[in-house]
Amino acid sequence: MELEKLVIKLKEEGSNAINLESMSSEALDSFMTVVKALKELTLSIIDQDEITFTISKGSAIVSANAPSNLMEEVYQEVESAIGGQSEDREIISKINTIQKEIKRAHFDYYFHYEKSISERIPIHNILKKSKRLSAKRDRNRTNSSLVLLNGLLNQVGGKKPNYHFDYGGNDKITIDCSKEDAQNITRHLYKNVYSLLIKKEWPNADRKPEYTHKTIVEKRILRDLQHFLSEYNLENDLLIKLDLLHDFIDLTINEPIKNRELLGLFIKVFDDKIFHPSEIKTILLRSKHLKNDKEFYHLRDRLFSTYKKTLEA
Amino acid sequence: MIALFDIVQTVNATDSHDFVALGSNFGGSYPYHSLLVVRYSEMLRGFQYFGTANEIDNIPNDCFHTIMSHIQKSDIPAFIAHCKNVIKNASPEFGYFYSGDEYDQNGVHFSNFKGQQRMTCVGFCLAIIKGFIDEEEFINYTDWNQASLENEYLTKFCEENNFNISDIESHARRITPLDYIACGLVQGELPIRKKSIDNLIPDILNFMVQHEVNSSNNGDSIIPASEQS
Repeated sequence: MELEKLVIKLKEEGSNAINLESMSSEALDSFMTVVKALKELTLSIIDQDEITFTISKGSAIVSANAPSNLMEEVYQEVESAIGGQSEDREIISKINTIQKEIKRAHFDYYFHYEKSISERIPIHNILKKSKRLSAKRDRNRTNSSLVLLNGLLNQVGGKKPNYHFDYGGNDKITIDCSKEDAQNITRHLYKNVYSLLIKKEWPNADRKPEYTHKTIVEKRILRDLQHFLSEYNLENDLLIKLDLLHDFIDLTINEPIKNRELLGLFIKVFDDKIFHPSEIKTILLRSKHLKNDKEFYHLRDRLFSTYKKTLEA
Repeated sequence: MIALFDIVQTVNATDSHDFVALGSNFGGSYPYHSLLVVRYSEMLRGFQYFGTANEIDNIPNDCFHTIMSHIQKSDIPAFIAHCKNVIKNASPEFGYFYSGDEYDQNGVHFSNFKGQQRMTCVGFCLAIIKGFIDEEEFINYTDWNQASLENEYLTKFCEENNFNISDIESHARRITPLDYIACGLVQGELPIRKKSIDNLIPDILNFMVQHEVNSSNNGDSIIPASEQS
């Protein structure tokens, strides 16, 4: 099958190709940074079995090679990130890393999408000219959302842990989870449960949504949570979303046990890079008093490190 | 020496990025009131205690600000939501007190001056900031003492409100709008120490005198600080 490529070529100022066999330490550092970022960028979109990488001798060239439909997808992601339309912080951060090297004064980088030897679409010029890329602010178009789903819990396990909600016939959904979650979930096996999940949908309707487990929801807070989520998910204005979040937590201020339970749940649920840093910060703020709480400090620390990662993106 | 562009007349900050800033209103060259100024999505908002705790969307022309480096840009929406949540519940009363006051995660007031939500406009802003940041304190408030108060203030306050001076004097201090706006010029680790802003004060006053600011000025005659070299 014909492979398409994303190619990055490092030349020194004055357009002499750098010799891969004799690089300065500065050029090596820069090139390695770019190689790593290109690898991570493409692997965040393409499965590792579908992609190869080439580092070419004679000059410093790295390319990622994959079948045309897959590489097309990567290029579209890159294009959307450059156009400020992407919400994928991971992809943006990898392109930012490459962009930073492209902008460096003493190096000339060429970065292009190679559909064939005769069809190359340059990317470096626009990256050189544009400001540091950032995620699209409008959360409206986000493909990930928090959903509360009900089902008969079936088949927990697997090498890559997951569980199933079986709806009879062939109708079932697979929910990815961590090993730790899988162990906890086992006690609900063959029971009807409500799970709070992250649902990731692709613009391409043929691709099935992916579900990631966050927590199993106890019946006693189910109704309040359903009501909250229906409002929260419909709202696109981040400031209004944050007000909803405060208001919902405020409802439990005078009921310490409920308040604690709800915050514990939110500490788990918002621990995901799909959320805006301000959403996570709001949960950190509201749970400040649980900083040293035996039951929650560990989860809250994890939430804090996710928050730090969303800031870096 | 203060870089002039670090103090900006708020109404002129129309083409800048989003920020959280410490704002003070200058009557003549001396500030008389303080507020929190937030710019987000091309909109300016003020949060203040001015008789009552409220939010304003018309920032007066005599307001100048310094941008806080301790709040991340992507946290600005969370900061606005925090301010609104505080305003929902806050009921401050005026008094020259600040004793590590904080509006906590529930927008509930906390102070070492037990049972009292006694503060100035500056204290209100400091209590909001303290509730938001990860660090324990924004300013090292004990660096300010009673010496910053007007004569006889405590005696009169105690007479009027039935307190013993010895019970409340450790909570009494005045952190002025001038001290407050200077805090935005201090970079680096928290809490901010008084000594690190003391030597900035003459420069700020000098800067304001130079531009003959007064509260009736419509702002147009002042060269935007951002345009000066």
